[in-house]
Amino acid sequence: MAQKTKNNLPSADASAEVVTHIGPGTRVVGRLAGQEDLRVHGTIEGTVRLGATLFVEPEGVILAEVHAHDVVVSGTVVGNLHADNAIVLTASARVVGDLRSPRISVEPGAAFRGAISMDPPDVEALEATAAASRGYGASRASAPTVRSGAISERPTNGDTRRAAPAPVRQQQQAPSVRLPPRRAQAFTAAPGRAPAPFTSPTGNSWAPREPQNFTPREPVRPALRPAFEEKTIIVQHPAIRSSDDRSRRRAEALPPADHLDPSEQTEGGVANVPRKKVRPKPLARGKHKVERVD
Amino acid sequence: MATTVIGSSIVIDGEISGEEHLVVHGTVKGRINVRDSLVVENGGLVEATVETSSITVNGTVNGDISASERAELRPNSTVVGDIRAPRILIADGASFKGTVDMGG
Repeated sequence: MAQKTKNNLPSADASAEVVTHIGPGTRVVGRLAGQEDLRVHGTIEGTVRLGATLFVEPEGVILAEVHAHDVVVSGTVVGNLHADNAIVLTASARVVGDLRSPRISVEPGAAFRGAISMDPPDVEALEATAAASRGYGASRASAPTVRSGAISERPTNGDTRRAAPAPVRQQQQAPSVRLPPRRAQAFTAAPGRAPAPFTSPTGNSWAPREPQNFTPREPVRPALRPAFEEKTIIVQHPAIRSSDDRSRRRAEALPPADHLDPSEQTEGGVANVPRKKVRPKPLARGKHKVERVD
Repeated sequence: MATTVIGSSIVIDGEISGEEHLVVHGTVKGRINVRDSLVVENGGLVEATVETSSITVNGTVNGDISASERAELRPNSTVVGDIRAPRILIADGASFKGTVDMGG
Protein backbone atom coordinates (compact mmCIF):
# COMPACT_ATOMS: atom_id res chain seq x y z
CA MET A 1 0.00 0.00 0.00
CA ALA A 2 1.11 3.54 -0.56
CA GLN A 3 2.89 5.26 2.28
CA LYS A 4 0.78 7.84 3.93
CA THR A 5 1.75 11.08 5.60
CA LYS A 6 0.79 11.81 9.14
CA ASN A 7 -2.54 13.25 8.12
CA ASN A 8 -3.34 9.93 6.61
CA LEU A 9 -3.51 11.56 3.22
CA PRO A 10 -1.68 9.65 0.54
CA SER A 11 1.30 11.57 -0.66
CA ALA A 12 1.85 11.87 -4.33
CA ASP A 13 5.50 10.96 -4.36
CA ALA A 14 5.43 8.00 -2.08
CA SER A 15 7.63 5.19 -3.16
CA ALA A 16 5.18 2.41 -3.01
CA GLU A 17 5.27 -1.11 -4.21
CA VAL A 18 2.84 -0.49 -6.94
CA VAL A 19 2.06 -3.47 -8.99
CA THR A 20 -0.31 -1.97 -11.46
CA HIS A 21 0.44 0.87 -13.69
CA ILE A 22 -0.75 1.99 -17.03
CA GLY A 23 2.13 3.18 -19.14
CA PRO A 24 2.18 6.38 -21.17
CA GLY A 25 1.33 4.88 -24.50
CA THR A 26 -1.49 2.70 -23.27
CA ARG A 27 -5.14 3.41 -23.57
CA VAL A 28 -7.80 1.48 -21.68
CA VAL A 29 -11.37 1.92 -22.76
CA GLY A 30 -13.99 0.25 -20.65
CA ARG A 31 -14.48 -0.71 -17.05
CA LEU A 32 -11.59 -1.10 -14.73
CA ALA A 33 -12.04 -2.61 -11.31
CA GLY A 34 -9.54 -3.67 -8.74
CA GLN A 35 -8.31 -3.74 -5.21
CA GLU A 36 -4.82 -2.42 -5.54
CA ASP A 37 -3.13 0.87 -6.19
CA LEU A 38 -3.12 2.05 -9.74
CA ARG A 39 -0.78 4.55 -11.33
CA VAL A 40 -1.98 5.98 -14.57
CA HIS A 41 0.46 7.45 -17.01
CA GLY A 42 -1.72 6.68 -19.97
CA THR A 43 -5.37 7.11 -20.73
CA ILE A 44 -8.38 5.51 -19.17
CA GLU A 45 -11.87 5.97 -20.51
CA GLY A 46 -14.98 4.57 -18.97
CA THR A 47 -15.36 3.79 -15.30
CA VAL A 48 -12.85 3.02 -12.64
CA ARG A 49 -13.69 1.27 -9.41
CA LEU A 50 -10.78 0.81 -7.13
CA GLY A 51 -10.59 -0.29 -3.57
CA ALA A 52 -7.27 1.43 -3.14
CA THR A 53 -5.47 4.53 -4.31
CA LEU A 54 -5.64 5.86 -7.80
CA PHE A 55 -2.67 7.96 -8.81
CA VAL A 56 -3.08 10.03 -11.91
CA GLU A 57 0.40 10.95 -13.04
CA PRO A 58 1.14 14.21 -14.83
CA GLU A 59 0.87 12.63 -18.22
CA GLY A 60 -2.13 10.57 -17.28
CA VAL A 61 -5.56 11.30 -18.64
CA ILE A 62 -8.72 9.92 -17.14
CA LEU A 63 -12.04 10.38 -18.88
CA ALA A 64 -13.99 8.31 -16.50
CA GLU A 65 -16.19 8.13 -13.49
CA VAL A 66 -13.89 7.16 -10.66
CA HIS A 67 -14.81 5.46 -7.43
CA ALA A 68 -11.77 4.77 -5.35
CA HIS A 69 -10.61 4.73 -1.80
CA ASP A 70 -8.18 7.56 -2.41
CA VAL A 71 -7.45 9.60 -5.46
CA VAL A 72 -4.29 11.59 -6.03
CA VAL A 73 -4.48 13.65 -9.15
CA SER A 74 -1.46 15.13 -10.81
CA GLY A 75 -2.74 14.90 -14.34
CA THR A 76 -5.94 15.42 -16.23
CA VAL A 77 -9.28 14.13 -15.16
CA VAL A 78 -12.56 14.73 -16.90
CA GLY A 79 -15.19 12.98 -14.87
CA ASN A 80 -16.52 12.73 -11.38
CA LEU A 81 -14.29 11.53 -8.60
CA HIS A 82 -15.70 9.72 -5.61
CA ALA A 83 -13.37 8.74 -2.85
CA ASP A 84 -14.03 6.98 0.39
CA ASN A 85 -11.17 8.63 2.12
CA ALA A 86 -9.45 11.52 0.41
CA ILE A 87 -8.98 13.33 -2.84
CA VAL A 88 -5.78 15.23 -3.41
CA LEU A 89 -5.31 17.58 -6.33
CA THR A 90 -1.68 18.46 -6.70
CA ALA A 91 -0.23 21.46 -8.45
CA SER A 92 -0.30 19.92 -11.88
CA ALA A 93 -3.84 18.64 -11.62
CA ARG A 94 -6.42 19.58 -14.17
CA VAL A 95 -9.84 18.37 -13.17
CA VAL A 96 -13.24 18.96 -14.68
CA GLY A 97 -15.89 17.16 -12.73
CA ASP A 98 -17.36 16.78 -9.29
CA LEU A 99 -15.44 15.69 -6.27
CA ARG A 100 -17.08 13.80 -3.50
CA SER A 101 -15.02 12.68 -0.58
CA PRO A 102 -14.87 13.24 3.14
CA ARG A 103 -11.47 14.85 2.78
CA ILE A 104 -10.33 17.00 -0.06
CA SER A 105 -7.11 18.79 -0.64
CA VAL A 106 -6.56 21.16 -3.52
CA GLU A 107 -3.02 22.40 -3.75
CA PRO A 108 -2.06 25.76 -5.22
CA GLY A 109 -1.62 25.49 -8.93
CA ALA A 110 -4.33 22.96 -9.48
CA ALA A 111 -7.00 23.78 -12.00
CA PHE A 112 -10.42 22.56 -11.07
CA ARG A 113 -13.93 23.06 -12.24
CA GLY A 114 -16.86 21.32 -10.70
CA ALA A 115 -18.69 20.84 -7.48
CA ILE A 116 -17.24 19.66 -4.22
CA SER A 117 -19.24 17.74 -1.74
CA MET A 118 -17.64 16.44 1.37
CA ASP A 119 -20.40 14.25 2.72
CA PRO A 120 -20.48 10.85 1.21
CA PRO A 121 -24.12 10.11 0.61
CA ASP A 122 -25.51 7.40 2.75
CA VAL A 123 -27.39 5.85 -0.07
CA GLU A 124 -28.92 3.03 1.87
CA ALA A 125 -30.33 5.29 4.53
CA LEU A 126 -31.75 7.66 1.97
CA GLU A 127 -33.37 4.86 0.06
CA ALA A 128 -34.81 3.39 3.21
CA THR A 129 -36.41 6.65 4.21
CA ALA A 130 -37.71 7.16 0.70
CA ALA A 131 -39.29 3.74 0.68
CA ALA A 132 -40.77 4.20 4.12
CA SER A 133 -42.34 7.50 3.29
CA ARG A 134 -43.68 6.09 0.06
CA GLY A 135 -45.37 3.28 1.93
CA TYR A 136 -47.24 5.57 4.28
CA GLY A 137 -48.35 7.88 1.55
CA ALA A 138 -47.37 11.16 3.10
CA SER A 139 -45.16 10.97 6.12
CA ARG A 140 -44.25 14.59 5.86
CA ALA A 141 -42.16 14.48 8.96
CA SER A 142 -39.43 12.52 7.30
CA ALA A 143 -39.77 13.68 3.72
CA PRO A 144 -38.68 17.29 4.10
CA THR A 145 -35.49 16.39 5.92
CA VAL A 146 -34.61 13.85 3.31
CA ARG A 147 -35.30 16.29 0.52
CA SER A 148 -33.39 19.20 1.90
CA GLY A 149 -30.41 17.08 2.75
CA ALA A 150 -30.40 15.38 -0.60
CA ILE A 151 -30.72 18.44 -2.77
CA SER A 152 -28.24 20.58 -0.94
CA GLU A 153 -25.44 18.12 -1.05
CA ARG A 154 -25.84 16.52 -4.39
CA PRO A 155 -24.34 17.80 -7.55
CA THR A 156 -26.00 16.48 -10.63
CA ASN A 157 -24.33 13.33 -11.66
CA GLY A 158 -25.35 9.93 -12.65
CA ASP A 159 -25.12 8.34 -9.25
CA THR A 160 -27.66 10.45 -7.54
CA ARG A 161 -30.28 10.40 -10.20
CA ARG A 162 -32.15 7.59 -8.67
CA ALA A 163 -32.78 9.36 -5.40
CA ALA A 164 -33.67 12.70 -6.92
CA PRO A 165 -37.02 11.77 -8.45
CA ALA A 166 -38.33 10.31 -5.22
CA PRO A 167 -38.33 13.53 -3.21
CA VAL A 168 -39.88 15.47 -6.09
CA ARG A 169 -42.75 13.04 -6.28
CA GLN A 170 -43.41 13.30 -2.61
CA GLN A 171 -43.75 17.02 -2.99
CA GLN A 172 -46.41 16.71 -5.63
CA GLN A 173 -48.40 14.52 -3.37
CA ALA A 174 -49.70 17.13 -0.98
CA PRO A 175 -53.38 16.61 -1.59
CA SER A 176 -55.55 19.63 -2.05
CA VAL A 177 -58.47 17.53 -0.90
CA ARG A 178 -58.05 16.05 2.51
CA LEU A 179 -59.39 12.59 2.64
CA PRO A 180 -61.02 11.51 5.85
CA PRO A 181 -59.30 8.95 8.01
CA ARG A 182 -60.10 5.29 7.95
CA ARG A 183 -63.19 5.67 10.07
CA ALA A 184 -65.27 6.51 7.02
CA GLN A 185 -64.08 3.51 5.13
CA ALA A 186 -65.14 1.21 7.89
CA PHE A 187 -68.73 2.16 7.36
CA THR A 188 -68.97 1.99 3.64
CA ALA A 189 -67.35 -1.38 3.44
CA ALA A 190 -68.85 -4.65 4.52
CA PRO A 191 -69.23 -4.85 8.27
CA GLY A 192 -66.87 -7.71 8.83
CA ARG A 193 -63.96 -6.29 6.93
CA ALA A 194 -61.18 -4.48 8.72
CA PRO A 195 -60.39 -0.99 7.45
CA ALA A 196 -57.94 -1.12 4.60
CA PRO A 197 -54.49 0.31 5.23
CA PHE A 198 -53.90 3.70 3.76
CA THR A 199 -52.09 2.65 0.59
CA SER A 200 -53.07 3.00 -2.98
CA PRO A 201 -54.31 -0.14 -4.70
CA THR A 202 -51.54 -0.06 -7.29
CA GLY A 203 -48.86 0.34 -4.68
CA ASN A 204 -47.48 3.54 -6.18
CA SER A 205 -47.66 6.51 -3.95
CA TRP A 206 -47.28 8.96 -6.79
CA ALA A 207 -50.05 7.62 -8.99
CA PRO A 208 -53.22 9.63 -8.57
CA ARG A 209 -54.95 7.92 -5.78
CA GLU A 210 -58.72 7.64 -5.82
CA PRO A 211 -60.44 8.27 -2.59
CA GLN A 212 -61.32 4.88 -1.39
CA ASN A 213 -64.92 5.46 -0.51
CA PHE A 214 -66.24 6.31 -3.92
CA THR A 215 -68.13 3.07 -3.85
CA PRO A 216 -71.78 3.22 -4.84
CA ARG A 217 -73.65 4.03 -1.76
CA GLU A 218 -75.69 1.24 -0.38
CA PRO A 219 -78.32 2.00 2.15
CA VAL A 220 -76.58 1.84 5.44
CA ARG A 221 -78.39 0.11 8.22
CA PRO A 222 -79.12 2.32 11.16
CA ALA A 223 -77.07 0.20 13.49
CA LEU A 224 -73.93 0.93 11.52
CA ARG A 225 -74.69 4.51 10.79
CA PRO A 226 -72.28 6.84 12.45
CA ALA A 227 -73.57 9.54 14.66
CA PHE A 228 -72.25 12.20 12.37
CA GLU A 229 -72.47 11.47 8.71
CA GLU A 230 -69.10 12.28 7.22
CA LYS A 231 -68.90 13.39 3.68
CA THR A 232 -66.27 12.18 1.26
CA ILE A 233 -65.30 15.60 0.01
CA ILE A 234 -66.05 18.60 2.05
CA VAL A 235 -66.74 21.28 -0.47
CA GLN A 236 -68.58 23.57 1.84
CA HIS A 237 -68.61 24.12 5.46
CA PRO A 238 -71.07 21.77 7.11
CA ALA A 239 -72.63 24.64 8.96
CA ILE A 240 -73.90 26.03 5.69
CA ARG A 241 -77.22 24.41 5.03
CA SER A 242 -79.21 24.87 1.91
CA SER A 243 -82.40 23.35 0.81
CA ASP A 244 -80.64 21.67 -2.06
CA ASP A 245 -78.44 19.93 0.38
CA ARG A 246 -81.34 18.68 2.36
CA SER A 247 -83.36 17.61 -0.61
CA ARG A 248 -80.45 15.74 -2.03
CA ARG A 249 -79.91 13.93 1.16
CA ARG A 250 -83.52 12.96 1.31
CA ALA A 251 -83.46 11.70 -2.23
CA GLU A 252 -80.70 9.32 -1.28
CA ALA A 253 -83.07 7.76 1.21
CA LEU A 254 -80.82 8.32 4.11
CA PRO A 255 -82.43 9.57 7.24
CA PRO A 256 -80.81 12.80 8.32
CA ALA A 257 -78.73 12.95 11.42
CA ASP A 258 -80.38 13.55 14.65
CA HIS A 259 -78.77 16.77 15.55
CA LEU A 260 -79.60 18.45 12.30
CA ASP A 261 -82.80 20.35 11.90
CA PRO A 262 -85.15 18.48 14.22
CA SER A 263 -88.31 20.20 13.03
CA GLU A 264 -88.17 18.37 9.76
CA GLN A 265 -87.77 14.94 11.08
CA THR A 266 -91.48 14.40 11.24
CA GLU A 267 -91.74 14.86 7.51
CA GLY A 268 -89.17 12.25 6.79
CA GLY A 269 -89.37 10.51 3.46
CA VAL A 270 -90.88 13.34 1.53
CA ALA A 271 -88.95 14.28 -1.55
CA ASN A 272 -89.63 17.96 -1.57
CA VAL A 273 -89.96 19.71 1.68
CA PRO A 274 -92.03 22.80 1.46
CA ARG A 275 -90.24 25.71 2.86
CA LYS A 276 -91.73 27.25 5.87
CA LYS A 277 -93.77 30.04 4.54
CA VAL A 278 -93.78 33.16 6.51
CA ARG A 279 -97.35 34.30 6.66
CA PRO A 280 -98.20 37.69 7.80
CA LYS A 281 -99.04 37.65 11.43
CA PRO A 282 -102.79 37.82 11.99
CA LEU A 283 -103.84 40.96 13.64
CA ALA A 284 -106.83 39.51 15.30
CA ARG A 285 -108.34 36.16 15.80
CA GLY A 286 -111.86 35.77 14.74
CA LYS A 287 -114.03 35.36 11.86
CA HIS A 288 -114.08 38.84 10.53
CA LYS A 289 -111.40 39.71 8.11
CA VAL A 290 -109.05 42.45 8.81
CA GLU A 291 -107.10 43.78 5.95
CA ARG A 292 -103.84 45.32 6.12
CA VAL A 293 -103.71 48.75 4.72
CA ASP A 294 -100.07 48.94 4.03
CA MET B 1 10.29 1.28 -23.03
CA ALA B 2 7.80 1.55 -20.29
CA THR B 3 5.65 -1.32 -19.32
CA THR B 4 2.05 -1.48 -18.50
CA VAL B 5 1.37 -3.87 -15.69
CA ILE B 6 -2.10 -5.05 -14.87
CA GLY B 7 -2.05 -6.29 -11.30
CA SER B 8 -3.58 -9.49 -10.09
CA SER B 9 -6.66 -7.99 -8.55
CA ILE B 10 -7.49 -5.79 -11.50
CA VAL B 11 -10.33 -6.65 -13.84
CA ILE B 12 -10.55 -4.73 -17.07
CA ASP B 13 -13.63 -5.07 -19.21
CA GLY B 14 -12.98 -3.27 -22.40
CA GLU B 15 -10.27 -2.47 -24.81
CA ILE B 16 -6.60 -1.99 -24.19
CA SER B 17 -4.51 -0.46 -26.87
CA GLY B 18 -1.00 0.74 -26.62
CA GLU B 19 2.51 0.79 -27.85
CA GLU B 20 4.32 -0.72 -24.95
CA HIS B 21 4.88 -3.99 -23.30
CA LEU B 22 1.90 -5.25 -21.49
CA VAL B 23 2.06 -7.64 -18.60
CA VAL B 24 -1.19 -9.09 -17.38
CA HIS B 25 -1.45 -10.60 -13.94
CA GLY B 26 -5.14 -9.94 -13.63
CA THR B 27 -8.15 -10.31 -15.87
CA VAL B 28 -8.80 -8.63 -19.16
CA LYS B 29 -11.93 -9.11 -21.19
CA GLY B 30 -12.50 -7.57 -24.54
CA ARG B 31 -9.71 -6.68 -26.89
CA ILE B 32 -6.03 -6.16 -26.58
CA ASN B 33 -4.07 -4.39 -29.25
CA VAL B 34 -0.49 -3.64 -28.33
CA ARG B 35 2.29 -2.92 -30.71
CA ASP B 36 4.88 -4.47 -28.47
CA SER B 37 4.92 -7.69 -26.58
CA LEU B 38 2.25 -9.11 -24.38
CA VAL B 39 2.97 -11.38 -21.48
CA VAL B 40 0.16 -13.18 -19.73
CA GLU B 41 1.56 -14.18 -16.38
CA ASN B 42 0.64 -17.07 -14.24
CA GLY B 43 -2.78 -16.34 -12.81
CA GLY B 44 -3.60 -13.96 -15.57
CA LEU B 45 -6.73 -14.44 -17.58
CA VAL B 46 -7.28 -12.91 -20.95
CA GLU B 47 -10.64 -13.38 -22.60
CA ALA B 48 -9.99 -11.22 -25.53
CA THR B 49 -8.91 -11.10 -29.07
CA VAL B 50 -5.28 -10.25 -29.00
CA GLU B 51 -3.23 -8.44 -31.57
CA THR B 52 0.35 -7.99 -30.68
CA SER B 53 3.84 -8.38 -31.99
CA SER B 54 4.79 -11.19 -29.69
CA ILE B 55 2.93 -13.00 -27.00
CA THR B 56 4.10 -15.17 -24.17
CA VAL B 57 1.48 -17.06 -22.26
CA ASN B 58 1.95 -18.45 -18.79
CA GLY B 59 -1.66 -18.13 -17.80
CA THR B 60 -4.93 -18.51 -19.60
CA VAL B 61 -6.05 -17.04 -22.86
CA ASN B 62 -9.50 -17.57 -24.28
CA GLY B 63 -9.56 -15.84 -27.56
CA ASP B 64 -7.87 -15.50 -30.86
CA ILE B 65 -4.27 -14.49 -30.89
CA SER B 66 -2.67 -12.71 -33.75
CA ALA B 67 1.04 -12.13 -33.30
CA SER B 68 3.17 -10.56 -35.94
CA GLU B 69 6.43 -12.02 -34.67
CA ARG B 70 6.06 -14.99 -32.44
CA ALA B 71 3.79 -16.74 -30.04
CA GLU B 72 5.04 -18.75 -27.11
CA LEU B 73 2.98 -20.99 -24.91
CA ARG B 74 4.85 -21.87 -21.75
CA PRO B 75 4.18 -24.86 -19.57
CA ASN B 76 1.02 -24.59 -17.47
CA SER B 77 -0.55 -22.27 -19.93
CA THR B 78 -3.97 -22.75 -21.38
CA VAL B 79 -5.02 -21.32 -24.67
CA VAL B 80 -8.37 -21.80 -26.29
CA GLY B 81 -8.56 -20.07 -29.60
CA ASP B 82 -6.84 -19.63 -32.89
CA ILE B 83 -3.25 -18.54 -33.14
CA ARG B 84 -1.87 -16.71 -36.09
CA ALA B 85 1.84 -16.18 -35.89
CA PRO B 86 4.85 -16.80 -38.11
CA ARG B 87 6.67 -18.53 -35.27
CA ILE B 88 5.13 -20.65 -32.58
CA LEU B 89 6.50 -22.38 -29.59
CA ILE B 90 4.23 -24.66 -27.62
CA ALA B 91 6.05 -26.04 -24.64
CA ASP B 92 5.48 -29.36 -23.07
CA GLY B 93 2.67 -29.09 -20.58
CA ALA B 94 0.84 -26.32 -22.33
CA SER B 95 -2.80 -26.88 -23.03
CA PHE B 96 -3.99 -25.63 -26.32
CA LYS B 97 -7.14 -25.97 -28.31
CA GLY B 98 -7.60 -24.22 -31.57
CA THR B 99 -6.11 -23.77 -34.95
CA VAL B 100 -2.67 -22.61 -35.81
CA ASP B 101 -1.98 -20.51 -38.81
CA MET B 102 1.63 -19.72 -39.47
CA GLY B 103 0.92 -17.67 -42.47
CA GLY B 104 2.81 -19.87 -44.78
